[in-house]
Amino acid sequence: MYLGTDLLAAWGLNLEFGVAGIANLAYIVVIAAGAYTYAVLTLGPTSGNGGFQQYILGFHLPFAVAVVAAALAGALVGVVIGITGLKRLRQDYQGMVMLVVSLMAATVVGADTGLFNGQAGLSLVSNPFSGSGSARGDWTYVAVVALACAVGFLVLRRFTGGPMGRTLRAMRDDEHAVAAIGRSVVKLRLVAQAVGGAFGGVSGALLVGFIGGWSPSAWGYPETLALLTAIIVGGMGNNVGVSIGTFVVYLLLLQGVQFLPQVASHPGLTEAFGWIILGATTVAFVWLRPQGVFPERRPRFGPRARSGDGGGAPSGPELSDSVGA
Amino acid sequence: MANALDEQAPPSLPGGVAVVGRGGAGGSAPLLRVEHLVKHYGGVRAVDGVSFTVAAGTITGLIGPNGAGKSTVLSVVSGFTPPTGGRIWFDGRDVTGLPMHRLARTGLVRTFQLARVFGGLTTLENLLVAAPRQRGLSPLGVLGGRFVWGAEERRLVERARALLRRFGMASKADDYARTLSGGQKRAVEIMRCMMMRPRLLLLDEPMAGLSPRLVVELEQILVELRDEGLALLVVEHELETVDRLCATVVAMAHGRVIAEGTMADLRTRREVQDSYVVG
Repeated sequence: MYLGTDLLAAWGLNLEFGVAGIANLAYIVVIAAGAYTYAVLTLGPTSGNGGFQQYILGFHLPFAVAVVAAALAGALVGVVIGITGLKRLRQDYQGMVMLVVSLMAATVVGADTGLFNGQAGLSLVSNPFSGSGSARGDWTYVAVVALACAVGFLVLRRFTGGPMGRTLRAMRDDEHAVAAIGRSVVKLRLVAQAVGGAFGGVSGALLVGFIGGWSPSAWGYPETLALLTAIIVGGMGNNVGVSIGTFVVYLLLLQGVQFLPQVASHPGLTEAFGWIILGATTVAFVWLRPQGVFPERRPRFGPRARSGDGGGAPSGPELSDSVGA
Repeated sequence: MANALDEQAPPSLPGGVAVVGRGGAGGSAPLLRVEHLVKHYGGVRAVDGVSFTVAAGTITGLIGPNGAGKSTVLSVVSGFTPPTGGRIWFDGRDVTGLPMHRLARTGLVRTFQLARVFGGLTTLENLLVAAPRQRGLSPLGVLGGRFVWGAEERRLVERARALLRRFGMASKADDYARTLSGGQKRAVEIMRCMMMRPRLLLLDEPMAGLSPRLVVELEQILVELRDEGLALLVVEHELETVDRLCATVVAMAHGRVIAEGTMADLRTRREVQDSYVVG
């Protein structure tokens, strides 16, 4: 189940960062937006639980409606984040702005108890399938998440595999040149952040529906860095590679360290050790293999042309003897 | 207006042939009219009241010493940076201040001083990505997949391959653009512009860094494009190239136009000689 929600989040960020080149260091905010949206839409009114937690809405909506709303919330917040960092800023500065947005969002949500119950966060978010027996309900939930992943992967392939994906990858390489061929960089970026945000929103919704609670401590900015590591390890822009990177980073690395022997004098050391390995892995890949284990695939359009291939027509001279400009 | 290049264009490109002829197939109506263009960067007047026109189907040269403001004019005209003052008319429409991507859609397309290619895309993809109004960029196209844009893509691939053959780069179609030489990158940039079916092409020092043989080949291509109806505004330091290509040459110095005419005329003008000697 966790792998599924991590995959959805990693795919969404890969669309933004790996494909479109948007260093969205606030990606965890769209996951949080989806989680909170799902929670406050599926929870009943605050008066119904004795008022021990305060939040907005409380509509007690069905699971599917809440997940769709979470996707829309993720898309909307993704666009809002995108707007804050878009206009006339270089990409590295945009990344900094988004990191600040991430910190501000966590601070605001934590300070305002009327919105999502402040630092204490929301709890008692019901698992819609828990009524069918604990184990059976969990497996049903896993099946729903798997279905969401399958649909998400198909949508992602449509998005990254055709002209749209090609245009986003061009923008990643050179924004000025993309504008020179008649594409609006602002529009492309916002589209990428809306779709990536929708993926994050669904990820957050499915996660909170399973674990039953969500608080600011669950969505610190390091979570975005873990997703980035999964993308860098797997291969930026390669959806399959990113899936494998997610498996390695989240299951083998961050969960794997839980099996290390605990140090009694330093509780939490093993968890910290996991983050240290994560950071070291990121640095190592950026230095030694920036394209990741599974680099982006090179598209082919029919048979490879031979030198001077002109289909019978005379071809021009090879432009191969020039010096570097 | 004829398309600058279509699938029926003759693919042959005899190499090593001296480029001759500065005339054009187009008429005399200005396709581009720049009036009193001004661009300030802080207190620096990079462009200071520049006016000139470019006729359809002609190649116009923009020359001057370093710092004359040529590239700034190109940047402002192309929408890369907004003007401080003045007006720009393209095909009878006031396009002053329009951003680059909107100007490009109207057919006013530029290249850059340092060739900008999409290094993570193959050469063929670099051309495909520039085709205008692609169905695959619409929401329906994205969700519908190849069913919606597959046929269009096949036509674009054919057109791109024809261009690659014309520029003698068919064997580089599947190579990543980042692996190309400087001259090849410049050719990719020009081909990419051709995919957009432009009406006016702004070239910023297209011959910079090219071998003498490649300069001749590129000149040949530019003349062919002009003969097919494309208008070109070329910023160039190589005055021999300007002499061979351009029917009209605009000379700039210190952000102003100091002379306009044929290259032969300009060589005799004292103010042009002084600007190159004194700077």
